[in-house]
Amino acid sequence: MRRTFEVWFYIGAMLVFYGVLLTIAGSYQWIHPPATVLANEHATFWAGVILLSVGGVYTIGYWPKRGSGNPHDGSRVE
Amino acid sequence: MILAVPTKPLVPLHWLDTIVIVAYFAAVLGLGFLLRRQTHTSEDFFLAGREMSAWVAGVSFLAANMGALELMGWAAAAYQYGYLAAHWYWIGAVPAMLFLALVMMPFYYISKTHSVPGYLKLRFGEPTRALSAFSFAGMTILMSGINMFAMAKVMQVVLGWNLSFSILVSSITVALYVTLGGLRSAILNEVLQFFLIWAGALVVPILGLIETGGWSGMKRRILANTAAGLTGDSGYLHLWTTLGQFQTNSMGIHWTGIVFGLGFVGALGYWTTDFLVVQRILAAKDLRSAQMAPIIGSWFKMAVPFIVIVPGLIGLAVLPNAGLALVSEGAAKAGQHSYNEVLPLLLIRYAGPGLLGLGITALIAGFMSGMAGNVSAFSAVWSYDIYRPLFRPQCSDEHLLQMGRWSTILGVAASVGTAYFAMHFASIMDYVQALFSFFVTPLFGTVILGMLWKRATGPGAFWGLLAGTLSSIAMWGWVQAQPSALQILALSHFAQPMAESLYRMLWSWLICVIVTVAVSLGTRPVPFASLSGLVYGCTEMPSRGRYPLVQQPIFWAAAAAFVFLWLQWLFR
Repeated sequence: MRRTFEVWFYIGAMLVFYGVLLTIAGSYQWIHPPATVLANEHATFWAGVILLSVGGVYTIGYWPKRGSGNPHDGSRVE
Repeated sequence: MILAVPTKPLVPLHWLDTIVIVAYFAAVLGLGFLLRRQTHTSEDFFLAGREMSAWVAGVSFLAANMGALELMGWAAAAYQYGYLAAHWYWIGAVPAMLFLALVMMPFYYISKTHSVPGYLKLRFGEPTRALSAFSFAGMTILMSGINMFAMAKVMQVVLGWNLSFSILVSSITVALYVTLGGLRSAILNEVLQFFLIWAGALVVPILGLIETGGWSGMKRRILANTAAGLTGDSGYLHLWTTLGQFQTNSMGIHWTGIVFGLGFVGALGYWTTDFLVVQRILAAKDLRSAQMAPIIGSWFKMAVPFIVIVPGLIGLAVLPNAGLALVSEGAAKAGQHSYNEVLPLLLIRYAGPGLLGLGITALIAGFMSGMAGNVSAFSAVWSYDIYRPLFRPQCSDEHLLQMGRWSTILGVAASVGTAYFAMHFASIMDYVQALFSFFVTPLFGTVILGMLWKRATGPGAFWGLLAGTLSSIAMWGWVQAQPSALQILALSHFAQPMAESLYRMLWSWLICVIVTVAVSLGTRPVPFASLSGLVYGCTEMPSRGRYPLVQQPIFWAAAAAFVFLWLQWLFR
């Protein structure tokens, strides 16, 4: 049986990817701040943490299960 | 075609930003590639199998609208006109979305039509369907082109990319993922793009409000800049109180234009009859989902000004003090920036490497969702309402599916041509408003009479639609040839171009309705028995089902209407 997943999982994984990237970049920018207004607010780091959290909720909540999926829900990706 | 010949960018792109942008392109293409296996029939391709949930259809309904104008254009308009720009999100959208959900959706859904021209075929016959299908197909190609051009312009300003390179990259990406997975791919990518738009676009309003000391601090700065003569007038901070006269607001518009031109004719025309957005709702799995989808969209629509209008206001508050007072596109000299650059300038101001990439990705996602929306709607109308009835009435479903794929590619190719055509217009906004008034507002007159008036006939609808469209084009041409005609159309010596487009919509709709009524009354009525499922009063409305009150569309529509009215009072 082919494994399927919902688009919400795909979106969550995308947000997790961006979250990891921005959290690492933000950690570096904490030490070497960029030449932007309000660099002291560490926006990149906090944006990364938020994306990681939201993406994590969607990724775990919609983690694909073999043979599962509502047949009437168009958000399913096969 | 010259590819990737850079001009001087606003900011050099860091490798982290490049990774973020490349990941976005990989994600949308990957989703299209995965979904190709789920498209077996024409209904899969054009209507996503009619199995979308209310949330997916609702988010997609809104994301398809978040094209070129939403992010860049209306942030620029907020810088230029202040709060008044928010009318296009609130009165210019919310009541129309709720009307679509509660009044019009049952007819679209019960008739099982594939498209808006398809509904007109059932209600009025082939001539009206053909007229609306040709005008809609032409409009979507022109609108898709303006999306491409606007995106290419942003990439040129921000990243220094060549215009042709940007158009090529975006058009190939959209063509690939829509051709592979049809409407399902367009819709699910729009849901992904919706998340990314919010993730990237929230950076500016949040950091902007921190810099200005919150909402009251932002208003204080705008008023200080106004007093110092750096920006326009204090009327920027009012939604309604300056609309009593044309000359008392920066837009040169009267409240009648906003309420009747924008809120009634313009908004209802766009949100209820433009197949670009209606197609997403027709993909819903049942009537309740189809009704809930625009209501869900209306809640998000009310929130969109936070990522579009607020950045324009923050630009008014902080940019003039940084030596960056923006001017109109035509007046910008070397070294000056235009209103259209307010959002990129603020992104660069606040976002460091990585976060800037996310902001740029939000802009690209907005442009691509609008472009894909237009192309998928074009493909459906071309295949169902032009190709099959006029050229191959007996074609098989498999043949129609192939035509859908080819027309997607041809639609994108034609859009590239119209993108170059759009470059010759002085203002993107004028171009879009002109297209809406030509094709969308008269169509609304035809559809609403068809749904609500049993006596409307096929000849009445055809001649009404034709008269509305031609009169709108004639009014536009009249003002182009003789600018003083604006005062006649908008009923005031003080009216500005924005008022002209709203009144043109109103007049073209009225002409469509008057001609439709007059011709209908002079022609043989249609037997009422044949109008079942198509017209109010001839149709048994389906049961709302045994849902608790909080799960019924009427409950959430009433709540949305209350919040909408509260927002009008709050920002009056």
